Amino acid sequence: MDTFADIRRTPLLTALHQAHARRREISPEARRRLAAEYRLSAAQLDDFISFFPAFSARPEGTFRVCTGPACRLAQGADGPRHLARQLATPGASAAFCLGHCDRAPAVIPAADAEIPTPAPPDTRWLEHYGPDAPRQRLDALLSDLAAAGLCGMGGGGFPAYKKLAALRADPAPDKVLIANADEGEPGTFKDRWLLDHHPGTVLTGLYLACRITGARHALIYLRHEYAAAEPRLVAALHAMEQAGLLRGIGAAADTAHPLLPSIAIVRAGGPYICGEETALIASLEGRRGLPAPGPPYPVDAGLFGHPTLVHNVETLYYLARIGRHGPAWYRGDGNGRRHFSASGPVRRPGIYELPAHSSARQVLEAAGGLVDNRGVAAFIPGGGSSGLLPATALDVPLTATALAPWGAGPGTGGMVFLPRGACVVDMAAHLAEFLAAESCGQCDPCRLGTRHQARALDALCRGTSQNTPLDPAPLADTAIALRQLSICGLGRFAPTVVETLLRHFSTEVAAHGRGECAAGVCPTAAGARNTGDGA
Amino acid sequence: MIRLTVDGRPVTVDDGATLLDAVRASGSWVPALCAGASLPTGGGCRLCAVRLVDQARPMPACRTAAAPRMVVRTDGDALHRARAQVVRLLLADHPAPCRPPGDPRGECELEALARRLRLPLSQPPATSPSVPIPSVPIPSVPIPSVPIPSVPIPFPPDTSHPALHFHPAACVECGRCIRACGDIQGHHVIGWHGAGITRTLAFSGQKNLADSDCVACGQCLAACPTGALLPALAPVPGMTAIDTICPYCGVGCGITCHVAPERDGHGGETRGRIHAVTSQPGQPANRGRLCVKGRFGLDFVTRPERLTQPLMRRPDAPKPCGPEGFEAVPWDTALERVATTLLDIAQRHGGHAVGGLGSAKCTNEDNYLFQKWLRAGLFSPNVDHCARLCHSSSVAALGAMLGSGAGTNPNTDFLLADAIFLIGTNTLETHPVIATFIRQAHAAGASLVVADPRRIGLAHEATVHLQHRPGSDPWLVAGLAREILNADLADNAFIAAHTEGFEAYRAALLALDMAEVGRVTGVPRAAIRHAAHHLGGAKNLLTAWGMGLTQHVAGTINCAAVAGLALLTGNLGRPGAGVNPLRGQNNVQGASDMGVLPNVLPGYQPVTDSATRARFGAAWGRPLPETPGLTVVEMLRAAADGDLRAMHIMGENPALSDPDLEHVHAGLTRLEFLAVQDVFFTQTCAWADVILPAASVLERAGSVTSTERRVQRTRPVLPPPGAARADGDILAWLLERAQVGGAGSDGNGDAAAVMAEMARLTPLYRGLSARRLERESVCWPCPAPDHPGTPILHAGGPLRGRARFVVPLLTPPAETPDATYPFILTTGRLLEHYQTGTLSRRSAVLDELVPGPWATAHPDTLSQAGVTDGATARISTRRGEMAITLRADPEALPGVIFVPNHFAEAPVNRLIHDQLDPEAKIPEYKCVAAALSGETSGR
Ligand SMILES: Cc1cc2nc3c(=O)[nH]c(=O)nc-3n(C[C@H](O)[C@H](O)[C@H](O)COP(=O)(O)O)c2cc1C
Ligand code: SF4
Ligand code: SF4
Ligand code: SF4
Ligand code: FES
Repeated sequence: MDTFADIRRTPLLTALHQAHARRREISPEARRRLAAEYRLSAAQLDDFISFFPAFSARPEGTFRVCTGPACRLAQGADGPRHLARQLATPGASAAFCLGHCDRAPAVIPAADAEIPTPAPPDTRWLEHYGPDAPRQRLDALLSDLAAAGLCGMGGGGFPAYKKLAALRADPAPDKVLIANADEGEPGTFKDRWLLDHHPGTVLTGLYLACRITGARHALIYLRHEYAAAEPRLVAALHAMEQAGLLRGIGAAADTAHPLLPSIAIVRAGGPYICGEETALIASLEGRRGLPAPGPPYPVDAGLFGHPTLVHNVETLYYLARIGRHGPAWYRGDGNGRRHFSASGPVRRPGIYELPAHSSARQVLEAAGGLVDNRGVAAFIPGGGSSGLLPATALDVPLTATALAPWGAGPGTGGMVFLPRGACVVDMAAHLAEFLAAESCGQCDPCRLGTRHQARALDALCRGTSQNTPLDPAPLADTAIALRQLSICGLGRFAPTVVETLLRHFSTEVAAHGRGECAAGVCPTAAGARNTGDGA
Repeated sequence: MIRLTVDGRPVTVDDGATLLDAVRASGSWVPALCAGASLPTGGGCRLCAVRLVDQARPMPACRTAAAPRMVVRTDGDALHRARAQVVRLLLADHPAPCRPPGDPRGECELEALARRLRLPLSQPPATSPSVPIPSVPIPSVPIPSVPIPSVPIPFPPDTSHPALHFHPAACVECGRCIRACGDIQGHHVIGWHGAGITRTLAFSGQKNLADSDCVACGQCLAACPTGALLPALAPVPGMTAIDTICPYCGVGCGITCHVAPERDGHGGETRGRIHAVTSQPGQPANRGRLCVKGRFGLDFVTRPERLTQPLMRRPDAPKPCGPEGFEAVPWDTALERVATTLLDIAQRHGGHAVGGLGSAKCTNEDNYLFQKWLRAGLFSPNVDHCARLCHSSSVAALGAMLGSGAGTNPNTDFLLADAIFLIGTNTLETHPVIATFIRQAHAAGASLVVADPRRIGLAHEATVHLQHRPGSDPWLVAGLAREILNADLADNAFIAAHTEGFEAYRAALLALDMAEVGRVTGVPRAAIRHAAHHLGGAKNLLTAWGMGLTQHVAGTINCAAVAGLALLTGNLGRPGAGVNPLRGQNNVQGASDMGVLPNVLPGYQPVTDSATRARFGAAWGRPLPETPGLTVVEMLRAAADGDLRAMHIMGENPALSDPDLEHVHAGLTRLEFLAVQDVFFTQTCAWADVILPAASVLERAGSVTSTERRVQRTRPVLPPPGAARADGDILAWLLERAQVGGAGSDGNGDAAAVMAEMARLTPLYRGLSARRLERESVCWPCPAPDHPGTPILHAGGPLRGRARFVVPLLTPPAETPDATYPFILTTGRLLEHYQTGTLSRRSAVLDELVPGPWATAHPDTLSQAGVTDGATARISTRRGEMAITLRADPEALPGVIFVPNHFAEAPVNRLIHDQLDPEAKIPEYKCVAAALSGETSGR
């Protein structure tokens, strides 16, 4: 009677957030109720719930401490001790990058940040694209996007106008658009910043995407650590609803024009992998968030089988701005623009919108350079799986072609700068551990391969491999297994960190193999003695 | 057909095949760890990856559909290195060898894979010193991180369950067990807990197995490639595998028993023991599935309480009495006594003064010889068996309407239906393997309508559950038919071409008062309408029912009404469309087929037909009784009245199973002579004069016929205990003694010879022979040796010519609640037990899972009666009373008390009245007026 396989029903994810909000845990009583309501066995429900860290019990007074790249570099030499002290506090638990790298060291729940009230969406302008808009107007918008060469900003880089055109051509009655706001790539916080400061523009982009494609259902899949952005999004949605642009927020109203989209906000459940679009869709359908490689692809059969398009927040933001300012504005001197997240001990950590082909040095300069003018030891060019590069790569344009010879990629534009004195092996070990912990686990090469990498680098940091330098051969085999056999990008790009470390930082690796951490950060035999007393 | 190339060789595969099928067909090889035989695709191990010429990345063969002209390569250095590394990584944490020697599943698949790839079993992945690492927890790390547990499986083995154990260390996380449990069996007990590196397998969300919702079907065990899931009973090396058919229920699952001799403690060998049961590969009845009884419940055969010696009642022993009232005698003494006494009584008082009960637990051959012994040897018309108590009403209704009383479709046809209607069957517990097909069809989109007064397992999953009051079935089904008519969903073309009597049927329905339907059934009209839309709107509707429908005084009326729905919607004679009474015992269909019924000879040939009698009479060299004899309940009544003087009971237990046990016991006591032939000292044995120890079906060659009319070969997996003999041999001795001709007349009960005679005389079985059954199982009718059998009845139109609509009669139950007996008592079965518990309660595993009886009722009913949840209460009816533990069931219908009927310590049948369905003579076990009171206030 009540099938769950329906786009109109409350996602299990949302029902769980509601239950968790009441009790700060999913109580046995709530489990029983939800199992009956969603027709799941105890095992099926637990299979789902246990996939999402957001639903673990979080009693009053508990908080999460970020151990991510920027946060482990924060507060200079005292950083490590500071983190250790924080984690020793009762109620503290360690988290991977919380996406607040500009406020490192970050803790959740955090004190509210001061964010100026953002501009509402320009509903007057949007009316041009309402249900009565002539076809040509939407066609023109689509050609503008093509002329701009807008590509996905979520890491995949697939031309956005092609996906939009494909969905537009689909005659299915119920099409779905999803704004992917589940940003989780370590060192990346551009989507959060855009949602904080420009929610109206992002929603404008989402709205236009719906109108171009004819999608009647839209969702914002919001990282649950970004809950603070929700009220601003809701305010913008209300403005749109009042302007008669929506069929409803969440549930659709029957009275509105049937071609208008309804837009709902769904909070994600925590795993990094749910940023991957097929995993994201699975989580919305009440299944654990496992990437499911196509075919069929989401544009053909996505959410509950309906044709579905997933776009990154920044892609939608640019969609709106290209609609407003035209393709020439976006292209600038050729490659378009993007928002770089700059973090680490830079003077002004934050988001910098620059030409897409800027170099790391240009981003660093925009962020005011390093604190104390320390030199750069290494940097992460674009998020956790983009690799680790030495200072010699600072002038390389942050594009796929230019970075390829370095064994790295531009990723999400999430840049973390490591100053001299920081330990690059520790950073690599942390990133390897991130990948191992965030692997969804469904495919053996990734589940076991990322664990192998993490264990190997962990051993290197600990000095367990003292006097036997890291043996790259088995790691090379694991890299082949990861690249060849993994289902999704997490596994396929997982070797990058290890490989760039071994390639560009062989001195540091060798030193750790001897039990020496020059930065005094790693608990190698020597390092542990150096820092052990103070910690 | 798809043609493609694998490693340069052309291959052709069926449509829908995967690349893994293609690779296997080509003779090439790729490893495949997460792909299990007949499981839905996994795709996680990634070992089966192959390269396609025009694709950059390798593809998992198991989840890539084969397409024409694909060019596939399984080799290549990178691919080989990648696969080998995954296997090394798996081996790094694997405790080889993880399976005990002798495991019937063979060697652990991971270990076998390692051998094939020439990888050492006991080494860390490759040579990195950093790999086998840290068993130490992370110490004071200056820069803390989210800790990765370095030992991946911190969980100890789970040995909480009596049948199944879980050893997490050996688990390769292939997920096969999850798919086996969820997708194949539909139980959904196993799932993952957590993600990625910390992911583990979990039962019902991190319970231990014993506390989980596990029903111990063992499907996960069969699917597991490693020693992670192991049976609690360890296998022994050198077991012999013998294929036979499960001795429990009518599904007819093919099983393979793994037996090995045992030392008896005195240096000698015992006859052996069944150490493991697996499903027989390639069996059409169950497709590799089993339930807890078949897989773990066969140890009753080797229980020490088995009867091993013929026993004779001591002259001074009272009736009834326990085993102490008997003494062991040689076979010839016992048999001579049985033969002389029965022959003598038959001679002196006529054949009608003796009667016999055959058995739905014995083979076809044994039952054939049994009725032959009664009819030809004793000239008695009184031969019947317990089918009377379960499905005689189905047989009567279907026979009259369609021309055959049997179910129309094979078990697996549920997979082909797009709507399934279950009424009065708790299929999940009574026919567990058929329930798997139902669930699978439902999961794939078929609608499922369940009508049952209890909120049984499948009711929770159903599209619509019609929770009608016990005994209101005639109203409910008529209401459904009326709504189908109203919605114009009747199949008029079918009705015109294949039926008769529709106008009267339609007129009766149009006169139906739907308000009355609502009042009597207690089901909202909207629900009836909703269900009717699903039933009427389906392309293929498959209907099945059980004893909830048949065991009423209106049993025949009920079955006719339900069959009427199928006619109304034109659902007969097609794959996935038909009517299926789900037969209870493993050979209840066969016992009926063999003529262990008072009115028909083998193959449903009426005894009143003189030509038939002449044919059988000629073969047996005897005249046969000309009139139909007494049914089960009638025989016991006649015994109580002194009209029936002696009985021969083979493998039945009327002293516990029949209604109104007080009367039954009176009848048994009054008999001049009672011979009982059985495997255990049953409740009925207490009244016996001679007890003949029989071989069980597991010790006997022959054949049995399942609910889908599938005749299947049974093989002896063990020799019988002590001096016990096959039923056939016992009967052959008696036949020889009585000088009856034909099969068995030489004193030898050889199954092949019996089958040959029976096939010759029985058109339904004519094409069958022991030789043929050795090769294949066949669904009757099978009129000739080269006939393939008939899985779907009425495929060429109703056997009767035109199927006959029966005007619905709204017949209430014999008893309705009143002031003294305000509640309704209903009885039924449990998954773990079977019939009177003769077998199942003697299985260690089954007994541990469900050791004793309890009854359930709605909490309001309990408080109304002043009974606390979990306390002992007294249930009384006009026949008597009984004490039993009561549990609250919030989903029960208020006012209805449910009592399972397997337990001698709670012989609920004592409370049932013996009013019978006038046509089929079936008793009303499902609806009796009862009172309930707290144990103390009762007296
Ligand atoms: C492991 C993994 C993680 C991802 N995480 C994100 C994410 O956090 N946010 C995002 O927008 N896209 C993420 N993606 C990309 C999405 O799958 C998808 O390509 C993207 O949302 C499409 O939007 P775009 O075309 O606008 O880039 C991820 C992909 C992978 C393989
Ligand atoms: S590559 Fe890793 S994250 Fe991606 S599907 Fe496989 S196990 Fe999951
Ligand atoms: S228990 Fe067996 S079948 Fe289940 S995941 Fe583990 S290895 Fe696979
Ligand atoms: S379903 Fe019936 S035949 Fe099959 S294993 Fe269970 S009891 Fe035996
Ligand atoms: S067998 Fe194909 S991925 Fe495991």
